[in-house]
Amino acid sequence: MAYVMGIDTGGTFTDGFLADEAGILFAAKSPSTPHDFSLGFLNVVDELAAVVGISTPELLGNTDYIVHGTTSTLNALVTGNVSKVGFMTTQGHADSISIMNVEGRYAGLDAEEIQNMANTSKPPALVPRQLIEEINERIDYKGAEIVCLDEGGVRQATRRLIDKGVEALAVSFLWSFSNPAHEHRVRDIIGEIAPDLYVALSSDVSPRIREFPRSATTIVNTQVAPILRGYLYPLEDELRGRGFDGSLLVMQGSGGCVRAREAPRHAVTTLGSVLTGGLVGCANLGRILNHDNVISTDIGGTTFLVGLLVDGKPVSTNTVVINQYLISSSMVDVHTIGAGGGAIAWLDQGGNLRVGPDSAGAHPGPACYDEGGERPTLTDADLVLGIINPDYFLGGKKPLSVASAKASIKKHIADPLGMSVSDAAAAIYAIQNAQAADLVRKVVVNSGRDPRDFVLYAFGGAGPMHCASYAADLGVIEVLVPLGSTAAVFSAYGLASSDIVLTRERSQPENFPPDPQQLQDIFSDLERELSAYLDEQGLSFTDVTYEREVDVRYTMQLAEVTTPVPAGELDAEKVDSIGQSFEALYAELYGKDAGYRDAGMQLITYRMRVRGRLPIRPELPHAERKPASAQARGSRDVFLDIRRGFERTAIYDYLDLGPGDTLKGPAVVEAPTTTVAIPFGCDARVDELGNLRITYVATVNGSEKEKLA
Amino acid sequence: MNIDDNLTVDSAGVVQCRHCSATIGNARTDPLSGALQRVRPAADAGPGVHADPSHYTKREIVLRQAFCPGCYALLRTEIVPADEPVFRNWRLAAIEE
Amino acid sequence: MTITHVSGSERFNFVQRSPAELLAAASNLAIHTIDERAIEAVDPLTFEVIRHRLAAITEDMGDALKRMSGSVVVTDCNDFSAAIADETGDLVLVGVYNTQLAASLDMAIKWTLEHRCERPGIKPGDMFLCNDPWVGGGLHQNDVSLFAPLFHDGKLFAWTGAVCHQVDLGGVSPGSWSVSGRDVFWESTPVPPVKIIEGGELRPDIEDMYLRRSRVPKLIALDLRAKLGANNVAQERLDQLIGKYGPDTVKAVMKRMMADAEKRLRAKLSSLPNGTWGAVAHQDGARAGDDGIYKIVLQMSKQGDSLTFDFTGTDKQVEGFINCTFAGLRGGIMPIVLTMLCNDIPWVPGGIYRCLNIISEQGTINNCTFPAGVGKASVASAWATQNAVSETIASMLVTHPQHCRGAMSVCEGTWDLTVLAGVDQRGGPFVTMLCDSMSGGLGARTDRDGVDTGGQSCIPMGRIADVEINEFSFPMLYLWRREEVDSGGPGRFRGGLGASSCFIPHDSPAGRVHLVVSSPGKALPLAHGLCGGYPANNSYDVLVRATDVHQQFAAGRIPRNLQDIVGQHDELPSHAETDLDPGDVYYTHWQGGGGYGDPLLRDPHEVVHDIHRQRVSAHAADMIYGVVCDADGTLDDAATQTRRNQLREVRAGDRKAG
Repeated sequence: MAYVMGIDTGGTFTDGFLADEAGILFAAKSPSTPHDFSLGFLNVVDELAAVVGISTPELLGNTDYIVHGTTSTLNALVTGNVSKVGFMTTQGHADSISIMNVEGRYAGLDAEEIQNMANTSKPPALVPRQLIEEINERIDYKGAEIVCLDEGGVRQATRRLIDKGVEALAVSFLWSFSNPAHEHRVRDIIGEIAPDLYVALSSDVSPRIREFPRSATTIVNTQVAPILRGYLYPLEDELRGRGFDGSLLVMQGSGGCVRAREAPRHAVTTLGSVLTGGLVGCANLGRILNHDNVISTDIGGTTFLVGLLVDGKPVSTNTVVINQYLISSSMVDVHTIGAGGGAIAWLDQGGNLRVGPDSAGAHPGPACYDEGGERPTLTDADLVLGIINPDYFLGGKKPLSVASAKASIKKHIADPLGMSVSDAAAAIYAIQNAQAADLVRKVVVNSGRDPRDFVLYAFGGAGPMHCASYAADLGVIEVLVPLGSTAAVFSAYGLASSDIVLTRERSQPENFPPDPQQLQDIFSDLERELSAYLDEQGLSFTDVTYEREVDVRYTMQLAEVTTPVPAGELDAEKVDSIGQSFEALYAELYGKDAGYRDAGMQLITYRMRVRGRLPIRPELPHAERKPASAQARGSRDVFLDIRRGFERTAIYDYLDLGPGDTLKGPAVVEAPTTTVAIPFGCDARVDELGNLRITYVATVNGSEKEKLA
Repeated sequence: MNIDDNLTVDSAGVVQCRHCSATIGNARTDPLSGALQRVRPAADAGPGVHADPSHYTKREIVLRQAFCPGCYALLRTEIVPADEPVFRNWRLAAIEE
Repeated sequence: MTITHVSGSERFNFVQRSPAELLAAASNLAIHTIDERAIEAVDPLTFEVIRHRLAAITEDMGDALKRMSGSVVVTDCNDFSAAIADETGDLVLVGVYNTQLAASLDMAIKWTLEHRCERPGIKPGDMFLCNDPWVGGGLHQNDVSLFAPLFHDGKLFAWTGAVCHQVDLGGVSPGSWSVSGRDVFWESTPVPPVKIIEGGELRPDIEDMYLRRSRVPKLIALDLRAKLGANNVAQERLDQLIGKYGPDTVKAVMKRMMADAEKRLRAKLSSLPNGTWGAVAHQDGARAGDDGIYKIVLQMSKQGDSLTFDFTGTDKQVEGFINCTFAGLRGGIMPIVLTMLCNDIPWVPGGIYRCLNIISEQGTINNCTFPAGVGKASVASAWATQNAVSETIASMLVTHPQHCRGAMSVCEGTWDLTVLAGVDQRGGPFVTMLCDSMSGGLGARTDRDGVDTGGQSCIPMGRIADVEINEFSFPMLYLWRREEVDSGGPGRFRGGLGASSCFIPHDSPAGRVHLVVSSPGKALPLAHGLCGGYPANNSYDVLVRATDVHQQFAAGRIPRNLQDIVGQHDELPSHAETDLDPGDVYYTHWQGGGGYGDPLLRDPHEVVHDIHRQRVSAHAADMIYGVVCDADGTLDDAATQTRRNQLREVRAGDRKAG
């Protein structure tokens, strides 16, 4: 029997998912082990073996490949546990990474943090000044050499940095993306002096115009690459020792994976590794259900995550902010705010009620945990409102104290505002839903789409309790809560069902229209590089597809719009169609008449992506048929709607439900891993895969749904 | 109460040095009346003054400083045209402790 | 030639009008208003939800503007603003972009209500364009605002507005910074509010009249569309919000936000001691060839829960381009009030202004009358006003154990302007303001150093373009762009460093590139310190003619500093206009932030750390901080103690009772 496995290492839990070639699925969960994440990885493999009922060597011996979502690079950066890196750059430009284009002072902060200007600072230096060397060399904007490379200076600088104990070197020269000759020569020279030293070139890691993010990306890549290598190589060796002879693959932020041996070379692409699985899971579920456009929402303990699938593909971004540094890396565009189940409710100085972004976390946790948490959280509000059953939280594994939740809300919110405890809890619930809806709307609208064209998926512990309310505002087609056999390990399922995806890009700013031949040559080069790189993965694929795109802007604009490039040999007509696609996309994003073709257009960065489809793709099984009976297990008073207040609400046990069952709101469905709230005005139906699908009854005049804040 | 990095004031408005407790003045009238005053060429402010001010203006530009009479802590620094009075002064109304 | 009063220009001067007066002036318009009871009736829940939405809409406007604009100053440097105002123009929210610009949008809307209601009328789908600094909506002619009434059920409900800095709108010098100008007639002609969008359609006749004055009309046209898009985004979202919650509720939340911000600011002011704080802000040079020094004098009084800014004693308006109108004066006050005083209060200018009184004499350099030159107002007298306001507000805040955390010494004392113009490397005409000097140093804080190259007060999200973007866009090549040692004001906490750029013209088919330079702060520094802290550096701009740079390049070397460059060195005056020939080098060094407290009280280890990081020179460490290092660069404790005592004796030496 052949298997594929997905292992998702999160901050709290490591999830395992296994599928065999007959389509039988298995899941397991084990605490993460932050001091050495590989222990949690190996534990969950053991647990999977136990679930299947075979030995670990037998399981591993029959596993074709394992796809791994890892937090190790992100964790290394956030905790500052990175390699000591030396940095070489063009003479006169060492300070680029401390000037940070000024924006490093506020990048990634929200508006309220930014307005408190005296409290904003830049993050600690990426590389201390003593470990930065300026080199005499210069290329200009055309890629022409203005000053030749000072090879003697490079040798001396290399020796000085090695004497200072650097463990790796990053090199980023001005305009190297356009003419990498100097950087290549530097790599050769360093190789002569220190053959084993890890060296990263900006023209390799991030060949894109704008030296600050390019340098920062190269340095970050260099800092985490040895860490990633130090994690993945021993892990792979350990797996081999336990009988594994398949491929260990690592998920990248882009939504596709790469062989573990190769991952450290482009370590920066794994920064979003752990955020990606959920979105890939949505993509696969969406494909089965024919949902092309999906909003993925995930409310965990501390964060609320939003991602998008458009035409079945994850929407991605090319720049992310980490520790206030701008990092250029193709990554699924997952937006996050501090509004998870543990989000703390508080009153600001003006007496306005706020929810988040601070979280009570797992410890001390919400007040209702009775583990020392004093401040009221979203979970406390959900409990007071009757949405959460105190005796059936996490399937009954965690008893909750309603009294503690009430006392906490009373003290911190209700009394100061002169409200009743239940009104205060209702206000917390409504504010959470409003800010969740705002984030979702922002993400969807900023991508130039209309929420009404989307289905919203909601997962994570707290997502299903709120989704019907925050989605009501958006006018989405329907809301889906994945509740089949993989619900608990949805992200790990996503990993196991992903493709190999490799990306290459090159900046070469050109005015539009470019010479079709020149454009063709760029893409042919990129395709050759990608094809060779794909071969190096050493895997067999059922299908290989290439996609190409270019970032286009109106002359002088900062905002570039990623525009697809048609397949096949490029001619003048196809080039013209690129311009038309750009203008159409632009109008979609910014409104009709916003574009101004007279300003001219420019092509900035060319990108190509190859997707290799792996042979085993786990499919979700149909849910077990049950007599369509939909019997409520009981009822209790629950508050789900401001206009209706507390009302008697039917409570269902998910395990009693089968495909075809339909429920009418108000209702609450209790599943072992989560609770689904179905407000008045909604219908919910169990589908063939066991998912709960929520639709709004009053969709014409909207009066039913519109008042749900 | 402390009213800046160097000074405290009491309910009678008496301004004292935080570092050495010397009395410097009264917050309601002239808080720095007892401070030492010094006027020096602008270049004494250090290498931040790049070129001689006379290159740019005919007016004399000076570094004007006020110090605590007890410990010589620096209380006020300004670089201004020499012929101008001190505009950087302040007064506090009665402090309610 | 003196500035001669222009009869008829009074109509454009700012006159404070109450909402009731404006409603009366616009009596032919149906206007949506609500009464006090409706404001109080809003429940906290609805308030929070709608407040949140309004903030999101303002952010959306900023996003749209930024992504659609074609000007580096907007797209790369965030020199723009977006706002929502109520029916009579009081600002409900401004984004965290250029807070100077936001400070005056209300003036332009109120003027429009008063003067444009009858004819051409204010109707749904209309938008007004304005760049008249006397009317408001911007501080100098380069600030062009586009604002739009929002109607609901046939009633004027609110206004939305977007404003950004335009690269060139004509006038004698490229970039519209006419350094030789003596009055406004040397500059871009101000446009009072004109209806450029009528019933949703862009009027080509008005657009042509507007674009005709510019050296880069295509760019200006693109930015006009960006502002149009930003207003459209806001209006659509506001329509949805009103449709959902009803106009009265949304309006009540707008009014309540103003009341809330006012209440919170008043509470904060009440917790601060009553008193008066004085400051002065200088500018050397009113135009090219002028060596005068001009002052803005401020006495700020805090009494109870309000603040009064009294500018009596400020110099008369001057022949030159550095004056600012009342819009500039307000634009000097608002950035500091927002960032330091309202750091934890929502940025609702309509409520915040109610706590502020302004006393200023017309005809002075920061409240000038037509036709005084105002081409540089935003970064000249408005900025100088900001410096004075910064000193007084920070001095007031440091008296308070918690509120002091919002204070900074003066951030980047002035804008060191560099405008380049000519033929770009692709053969097309270009004009640009190099925004590198947006990386000024922030002032020191009461518990920490100021942020090195952290920006400036008026644009909390200031930003500079990458060197590669500048070199790609314009015919220039950098020798360096770096943080400059000793440019942060010394103090117990050091001011943030400023920086410098040094470049040559590169690859222009015309060979030479036109250069406009304007920066006061050369005769004297402008970013003053607090509590004894020193000011930051003077601005310092040097043009080196006929250099050996190309020979050095050919020999494989890039010069590391001005001393490395052989040529004719010219320390430029405050204002100059010239051409850069191939082989000429231009060096511009802008200001850092002021220091805080006595530098002899700075932790000597911090000084040593600064030396290692090239923040402070060994010379300044010895001379100003009294810190001495061993030969290997570690702190010499004993020698430092001795040196500090010696410096204290020098202070005592020429004792002169005050």
